[in-house]
Amino acid sequence: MSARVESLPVAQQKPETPLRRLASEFFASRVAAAAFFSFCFIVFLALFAPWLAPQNPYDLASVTVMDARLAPGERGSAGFVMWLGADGAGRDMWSAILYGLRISLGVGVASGIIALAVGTAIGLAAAYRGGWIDALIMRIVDLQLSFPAILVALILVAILGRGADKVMIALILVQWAYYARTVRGSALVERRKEYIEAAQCLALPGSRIVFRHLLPNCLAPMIVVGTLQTAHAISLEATLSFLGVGLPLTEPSLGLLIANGFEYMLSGKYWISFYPGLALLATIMSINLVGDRLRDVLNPRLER
Amino acid sequence: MSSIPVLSASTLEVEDLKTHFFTRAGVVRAVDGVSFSVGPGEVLGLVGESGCGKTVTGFSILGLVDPPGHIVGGRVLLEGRNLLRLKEEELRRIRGARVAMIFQDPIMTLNPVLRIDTQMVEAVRAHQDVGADKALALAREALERVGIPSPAERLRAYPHQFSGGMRQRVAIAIAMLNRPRLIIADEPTTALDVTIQAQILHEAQKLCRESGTALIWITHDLSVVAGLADRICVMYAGRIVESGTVDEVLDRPLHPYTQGLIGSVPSRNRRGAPLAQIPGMMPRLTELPPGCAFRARCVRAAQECMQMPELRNRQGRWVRCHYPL
Amino acid sequence: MVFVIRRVLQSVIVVLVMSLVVFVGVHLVGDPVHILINDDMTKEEVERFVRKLGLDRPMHEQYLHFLANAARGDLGNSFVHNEPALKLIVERMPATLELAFAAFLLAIVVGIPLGMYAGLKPESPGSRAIMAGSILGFSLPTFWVGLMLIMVFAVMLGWLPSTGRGEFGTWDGLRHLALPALNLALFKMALVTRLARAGTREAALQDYVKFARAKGLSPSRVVLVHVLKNILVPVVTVLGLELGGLIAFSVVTETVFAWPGMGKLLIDSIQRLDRPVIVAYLVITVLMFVVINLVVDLLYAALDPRVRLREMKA
Repeated sequence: MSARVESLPVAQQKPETPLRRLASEFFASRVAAAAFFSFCFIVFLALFAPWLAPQNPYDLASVTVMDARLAPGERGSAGFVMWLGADGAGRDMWSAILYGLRISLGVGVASGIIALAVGTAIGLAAAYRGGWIDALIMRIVDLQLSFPAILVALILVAILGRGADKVMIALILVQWAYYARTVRGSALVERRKEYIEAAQCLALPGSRIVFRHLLPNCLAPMIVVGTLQTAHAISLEATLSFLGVGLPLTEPSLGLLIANGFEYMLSGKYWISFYPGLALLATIMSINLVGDRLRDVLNPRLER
Repeated sequence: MSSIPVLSASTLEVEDLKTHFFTRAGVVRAVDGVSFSVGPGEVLGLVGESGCGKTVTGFSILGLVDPPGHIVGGRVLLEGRNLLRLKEEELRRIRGARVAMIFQDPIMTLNPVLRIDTQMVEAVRAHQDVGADKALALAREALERVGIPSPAERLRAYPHQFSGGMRQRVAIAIAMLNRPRLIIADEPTTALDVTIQAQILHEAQKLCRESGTALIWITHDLSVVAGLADRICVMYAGRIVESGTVDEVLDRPLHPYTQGLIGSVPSRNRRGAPLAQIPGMMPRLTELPPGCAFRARCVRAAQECMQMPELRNRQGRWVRCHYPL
Repeated sequence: MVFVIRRVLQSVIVVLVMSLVVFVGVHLVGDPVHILINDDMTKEEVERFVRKLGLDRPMHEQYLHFLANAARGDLGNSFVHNEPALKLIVERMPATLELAFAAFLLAIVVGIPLGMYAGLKPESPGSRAIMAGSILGFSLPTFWVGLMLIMVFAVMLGWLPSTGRGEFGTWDGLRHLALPALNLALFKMALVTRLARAGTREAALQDYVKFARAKGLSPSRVVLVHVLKNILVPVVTVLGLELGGLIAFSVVTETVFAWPGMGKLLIDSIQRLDRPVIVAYLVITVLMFVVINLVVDLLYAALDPRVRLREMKA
């Protein structure tokens, strides 16, 4: 519907790096801008949790069961107001959420990054080598992707057992396939282009061609998949923790907090599950909005 | 307003039609003051290069211009009624019934997941109050008239099971179903082989003569209109630059552009000699120069051509040029 | 016909491959003896058990043994319930299927019209609201929404029961089904809406839509016949595959609403280390997926005549 302006009078042109153009297009959407800054805020909260939280909810000395199930806005025995109430053991919800954010974000992002690295490496290898390696890898990817992520996660957790490291491994194993397929797809397209042929004629080593020439051109879809997958990973980890098969009690993510509040739902003490859920929703939604906008901005074919 | 004499019994009169597209890159004046008329049983050839606005003209007549395009001026009189003033529902009743359109490539205009009979029956039943079997019978007759063998079987087929020429015949059949007064054919033979093209042209001409339907044949190919049309309008950059009977325009062109078009048809050139071309390219419709749009490519251009020439009557025909041939 | 046979054969191969994966997974990652026995058996019982199950035999013999047993329906006994694991799973299947299908229907009935509207009028405020809602829909964590639904509709308003499953087909059954089905459907509804919108936008720009309008067809016919039929094909394909996802994801909803389905049994089994039940669940689920994929492929061919032509030529 709207064509891009073909040429500006020379005097008005600023030297535009691709990054700057990307940023200006991205922030043209107010919603996306709001989402991006919300996410930065959430990251900030998570990083500085120990300083921002009035209490460390996992330091047994600072928590007392006298404060149990205090309603939001009441004052706890340590003297500060618990704006979001207290849970069944007397922990301040705000503090618990801040610490929980650390874990949820940390696990989600870490597993995402590792899965990205692994999936990208495999996808690139498949695309570049071609032949039976490509076919084999793609069969495996297709097989895994034909099953829902939750099922794959549950299978892995059932096989690997409990523990934070096992959960990380499970999350990575769930996600790598999406990256592999995306990267391979765009790498295959790029591979046919002439600059790769030129690089091959120059007898550049394979690894150099892959990393210096092929990879940068596959970045766009990777970024989009990366953001959306990270949101998915955070959601998946929360789900697993809620079900009781995720992170152990010593690493309480937001999912566990919500699970803890389950039993108090029927007696009307909504805040124990409600607020952690809001925090989780805000995190996931801001990432999804950013990813959505990135996809629209990075896809040249889409015309609004 | 109208600068072309109105034939008193004309089926369609287009007066000073203007259709502009309002894009981020600027206003595209796709159709900028186009006037012509067609009479019953007459074939009018609307000729021009790609991008000159001829397809948009066709859509404008039917009110099928989608945003960011809007018809911003002029009148389109179908047997005296101004189509541009009609409400959408009234216009819908005219489309497919009094005015039918044939598009360029029927593989894209026939819905691939619906059978031919479905697509023909719905065209009938949208305008005539008949039962499904009567509509089916009409469809079968229509296919016979356009020369499709074993029509009853073919009705139950899907578009992709036809060849290109057959599909276009189906499109013609659909256009004729409700006995329209006017058919607008937008490059219907461009995607076909030359031999099929000749057959289709012949069919279309025959049908129009027999039923008195007016036909506007939009094309970029002069050789097509040469044998088919009664009159020709030559379009350039959104305007008509020359019009007249087909013999007049093709044998004694008045506008330099028309002459250039005729000269660049391969059959007209001497064997072995380099093909005559019109130098340069048609300007983009967002960057029209002031004055005559053809100025930059015209060997006869002079100072006066900085002024947009009006359509002038020369020897009974119309031409938009300060220095016609 | 050839097409059908080919697809069936492919599905059988996938089932076999998955059975191999499950088998290898169970055997490679842990000591199969420990995985399949009860933790508090004596040493002699363990040895007897091992010999009985043939766990001291070479791998390929064990695999064939496993397949033979599976074909007969014998996947071991549950530790916790002391009944055949397969029977336990199959007993709970109807509940899960009821929930999954209800959510599936809900997602289609709500998602497709909303998506089509958003696709036909992309700039309208309604359309923007729908798209915003769809992002919310797939960002919301399902289990949390379930809790909130219970809070609002069961605890605060008291309109609907909070947990459990009613009698199938009765009004009471429907009342019990409402919240869990809505909960499970939410995520898919959002996806279907986005899919339908994208498809409708693309279809609306196609020449055949313009041609249909040029024929003077009524706008409702253009949308409901020409556009809908064209978007049904991709939407149905994705939806069909998503049905499997619904069945798997019902694990969460069943836990929140105490819905007596397979998923809840799986979670309980994972927590109680009741491995035969876990294996039985996996086997059944994999089978279901493969069947669903097969049906979807065949449906796709039935709906889009061009696919049949392509397959016949291939």
